[in-house]
Amino acid sequence: MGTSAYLLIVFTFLNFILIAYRYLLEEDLMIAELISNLWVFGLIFLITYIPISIIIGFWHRKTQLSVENIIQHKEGPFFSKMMRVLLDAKTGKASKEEIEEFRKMLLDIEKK
Amino acid sequence: MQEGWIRSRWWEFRIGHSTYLIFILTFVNFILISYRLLIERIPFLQEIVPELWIFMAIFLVIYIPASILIGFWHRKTQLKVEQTLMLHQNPFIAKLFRTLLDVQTGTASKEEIKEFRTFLRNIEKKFDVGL
Repeated sequence: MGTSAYLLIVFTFLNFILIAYRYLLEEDLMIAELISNLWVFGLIFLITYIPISIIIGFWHRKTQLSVENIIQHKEGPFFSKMMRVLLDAKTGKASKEEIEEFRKMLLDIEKK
Repeated sequence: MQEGWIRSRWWEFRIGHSTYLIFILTFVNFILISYRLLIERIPFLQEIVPELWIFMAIFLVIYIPASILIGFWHRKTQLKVEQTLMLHQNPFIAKLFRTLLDVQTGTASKEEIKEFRTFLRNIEKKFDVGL
């Protein structure tokens, strides 16, 4: 988690800044004149990237996250089973054996 | 409040980066490295793909549909496996459902319900979800 959530961001930025500068910007004389230094490119990149990333993340939370959650739950047979057994227990459709078997399975998971 | 605001923006930054913008960075890295260090150095390949932008266009035209097809296959076949395996390794959700089931069937004691409710309330207080 430390790597994937935090440190990987630093590595990715460093890779991108170095590769884009050395293999793209430096090769183009016009751009190389405008951004003459690797540090300047790094700074411009970070100043632009961070706010854009936050805005996209905000948009994701407000619009896409619900879609993502729905798709994940629609493709989650075990979650549906848990809800269905609860519903069946409430409506009296579930047999005692089914409830007991399900309860045992949940207890086994809890012990993990 | 201020801490919650900063943490929310940090989460949004991570999502914006790791879910969307990372693709652009990875594509640019891959295209530049492959072109400058492989295609440009092999005359046969250089003749087929003489310009960087042509390589980029070919790459994107192949990559995007392939990625969508793999994503579709993942959703239709792998996602249910992933979801099931994840829930089977989630003691918290299991405890939640088992307690609800016990409440429904009358197996849960008053103390157990009270303890579990306090446990949930303590989690609720950790972060204001009404952002």
